[in-house]
Amino acid sequence: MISVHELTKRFPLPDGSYLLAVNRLSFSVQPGEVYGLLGPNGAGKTTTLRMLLGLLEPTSGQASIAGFGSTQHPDEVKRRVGLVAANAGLYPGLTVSEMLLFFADLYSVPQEQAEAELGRLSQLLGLADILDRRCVNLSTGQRQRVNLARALIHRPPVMLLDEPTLGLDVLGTHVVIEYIDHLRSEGKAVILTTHHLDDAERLCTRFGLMHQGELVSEGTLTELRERTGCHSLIDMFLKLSKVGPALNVPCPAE
Amino acid sequence: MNETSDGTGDATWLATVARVGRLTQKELREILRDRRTILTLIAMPLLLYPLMAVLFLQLSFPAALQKPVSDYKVGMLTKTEADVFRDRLKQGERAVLRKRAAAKVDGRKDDPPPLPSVQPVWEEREPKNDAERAEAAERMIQRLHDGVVQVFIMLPNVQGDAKPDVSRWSPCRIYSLSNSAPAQDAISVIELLLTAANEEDLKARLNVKDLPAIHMLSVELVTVRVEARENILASLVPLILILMTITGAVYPAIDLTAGERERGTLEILVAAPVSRFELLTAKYFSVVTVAVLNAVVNLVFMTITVKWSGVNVPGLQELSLPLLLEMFGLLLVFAGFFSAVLLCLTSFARSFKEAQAYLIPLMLASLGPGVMAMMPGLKLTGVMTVLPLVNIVLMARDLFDAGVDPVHGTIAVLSTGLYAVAALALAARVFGAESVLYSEQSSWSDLLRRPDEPQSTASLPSMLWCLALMVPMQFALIAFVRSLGTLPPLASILLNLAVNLLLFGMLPAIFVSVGRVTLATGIGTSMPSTTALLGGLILGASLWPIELWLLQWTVDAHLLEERLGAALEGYRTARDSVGFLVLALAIVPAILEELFFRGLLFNALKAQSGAVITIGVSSVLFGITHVVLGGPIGLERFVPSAILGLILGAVCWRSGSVWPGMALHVCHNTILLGFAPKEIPVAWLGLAGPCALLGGLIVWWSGNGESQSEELKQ
Repeated sequence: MISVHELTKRFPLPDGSYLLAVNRLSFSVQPGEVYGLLGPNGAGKTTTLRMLLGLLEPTSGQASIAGFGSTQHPDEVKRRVGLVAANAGLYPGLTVSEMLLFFADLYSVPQEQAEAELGRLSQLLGLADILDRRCVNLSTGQRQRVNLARALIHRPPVMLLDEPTLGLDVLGTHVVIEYIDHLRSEGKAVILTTHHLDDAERLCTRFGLMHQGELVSEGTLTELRERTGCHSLIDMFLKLSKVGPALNVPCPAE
Repeated sequence: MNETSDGTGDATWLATVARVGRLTQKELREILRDRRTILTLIAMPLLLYPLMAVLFLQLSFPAALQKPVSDYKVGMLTKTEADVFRDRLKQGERAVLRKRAAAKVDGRKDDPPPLPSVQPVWEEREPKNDAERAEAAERMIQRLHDGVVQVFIMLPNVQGDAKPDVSRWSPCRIYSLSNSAPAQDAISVIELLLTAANEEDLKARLNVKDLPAIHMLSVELVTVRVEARENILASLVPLILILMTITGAVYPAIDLTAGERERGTLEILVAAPVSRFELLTAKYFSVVTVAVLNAVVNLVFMTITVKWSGVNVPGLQELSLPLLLEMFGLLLVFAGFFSAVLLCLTSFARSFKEAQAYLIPLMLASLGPGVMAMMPGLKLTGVMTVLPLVNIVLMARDLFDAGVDPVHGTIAVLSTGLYAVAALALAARVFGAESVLYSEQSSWSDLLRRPDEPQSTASLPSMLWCLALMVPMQFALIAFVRSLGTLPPLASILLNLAVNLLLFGMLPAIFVSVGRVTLATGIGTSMPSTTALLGGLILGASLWPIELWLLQWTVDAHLLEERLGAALEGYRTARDSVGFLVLALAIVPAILEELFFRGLLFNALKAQSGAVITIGVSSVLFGITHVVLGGPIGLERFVPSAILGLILGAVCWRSGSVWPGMALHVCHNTILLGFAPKEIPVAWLGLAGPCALLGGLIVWWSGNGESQSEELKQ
């Protein structure tokens, strides 16, 4: 479903040099999988998602969704993807239902289907009481749930979740995490970036650990444990920050 | 824009239009729910115009607060004229009073207001001859401007140094300042009194037998309007209207671009499968709508204030519906232009604050041309017609005053439209671009960075900017050439060619170089088939009589002879003087225009759209350019030039090369300017039609442009 091959992005710097944000990244995600793309800040996770969606043009390499190249067929890719970004906002002047129906229209969802989907999502995400409320009057948790509903209104087979629980309280995080689990059961291909590693451990079927634009290690949690010698994702993270690409060398026995 | 040339493009465009409509609806819903928009829309005009009315009344027009003028001064050239005029008025006054008295006896009317006094004043130094009378008249008109006299009456039947024959002084010429209310009042009183005197004379003549005809003093007034000198306050009103339109557009423009970026909605918007063109078009329509709404609200408040406050501003007393509609049309054009400029600037901004920082210099810069347009003596002619903002403020001022010259007005509107399209094209490139969207990773100067790889065609925004820059440059260059005075024909021709080379050669060359455009594909220099070239030549040789006929058909014959006749005659004179070197004036512009319109611009359009859009847009721009840069014949050139543009575009599309169109254009211009007779024989016209058809069929038959179009899109 999602395929990334040798994806590279370099940003020009004012002094004429380049910043290598993503370097020859390759991985794939199948339907029903939740792929945890993890790494410290500045590792290149968000840049990768943006290239996948065709919002950033790769310097080289390929990213495709359902066989459509992000650069060659950006509209086909966008039609199949729901994006939830940490910094995504809402239109303050619109009500929740106006906002969701507006996005359904952007994705060419027929009106009847959009309204049915709005009803379904509002039940699942607990939005029924706030559908007629202006977005400017929503709490952080409500906003993030609306954002999740907005990304799902066109029933995309692929979800890109870029730190979807950032800034949420325990209850808000729980609702989002539960829903991501639900997405997996629906057979969607999901890429999740998060710093909530315990949630990632519970949700993700496979992981890709990134450091300074490169994919340092990839596999299921069991495979990563064997390869790195670390038990938890937190340990792997701490090690990653110290040794970088040498993560795959097992730690000396403790 | 994924339009294809196989006809599915129309359906795509319909869907696009529908979606842009829905997007606009959403944007407007959000903007109009915002308190700040409502504040600008309603509260500001509500406060501004009454405040202005008070200021006008208190500071500038204290007379308006006083009782109506009861003592009008009428300027006359000599004491003799003034004496006769005074007697005549007194006779009229007596007649009016008698009529009123009779009416009162019959109980028909209430007491009418007392008649104002009309006092003639005259030149102390009595003019002796025609020259002195003309000088005296000039001085009296100056007194009109100074407000010493309200009207000036001149007797036209004075010959040489003879004294005026005051017994036969009809019709009189009555001079008054345009839009002067006291002058209009004075004229009404004078008309009333003189009519009463005339009526009395008529009755007397009917009742008294053998009355000599010479005493029949039938007075007829011919009103001559003296254009009022620019009144700063009167110029201020259109400027305020324009500034209020700007104010209305500023907030929505920032909110819909930088505001989206700041709120974090821009990323999710561009992550949807909607083209940035559609998103920006909807935002543009929304900003224009709010700006126009602001203009309408301001016009309404201004009209109400003027009508009900008793404010007496020259030019505003006659706020008629046609004038208001004209003003609305002008504000619509202006809103279209300024909204595009605002969106262009705010699309660069990543935050509300940054957008405001960009707009403050723009607002200050806008005041400059606005204030400049209030300078006395500045007219809507020459380069002023194409200077952005100045042309609109001058046009607004002229609308309120003496009216707008249609040619200059059209040039101002078209050039403004062209600038708007160029600004919008740049905005479309910037809006949602990764440099703006992800400022932490790249700078917006990246947008202006020269591409790393050679480009197969020029970008559409760059070509529209090139075209927009040509307009003021052309006017500046022509002004420079004119400042050199009368030049020998050869020097004049060389200068003309230099201007053409600079505009259509050097300027596009700079854009091509900066955009790293590959010339072969960017211009479309692939070799066409011999038959396509032949078809082009046949078309070129046969189209000119049809074009001239079309010109004659669409333009008044007298006007055509006056304008085109003089131009063609100028070419003939130059031909006699410098020989067939004059043909360079026909050939060089044709080549350069083809390289730009059917080369760079055409291929930039072709890379993004199908035949209808590419040929249609390029031909309309070709027609507009010929109107704006038209020289001797302006407006009248649009239809023939646009049709020629359509034919050249079709030839270029079908042949897939710039050369057949160039052959057509060169051949057409050479015959038209070098060999065409003054009168076109009907037989030629009859022959031209079938020949043009044959040429067209040959080009069509030899065409291979469709496949090349697909290659360009790839």
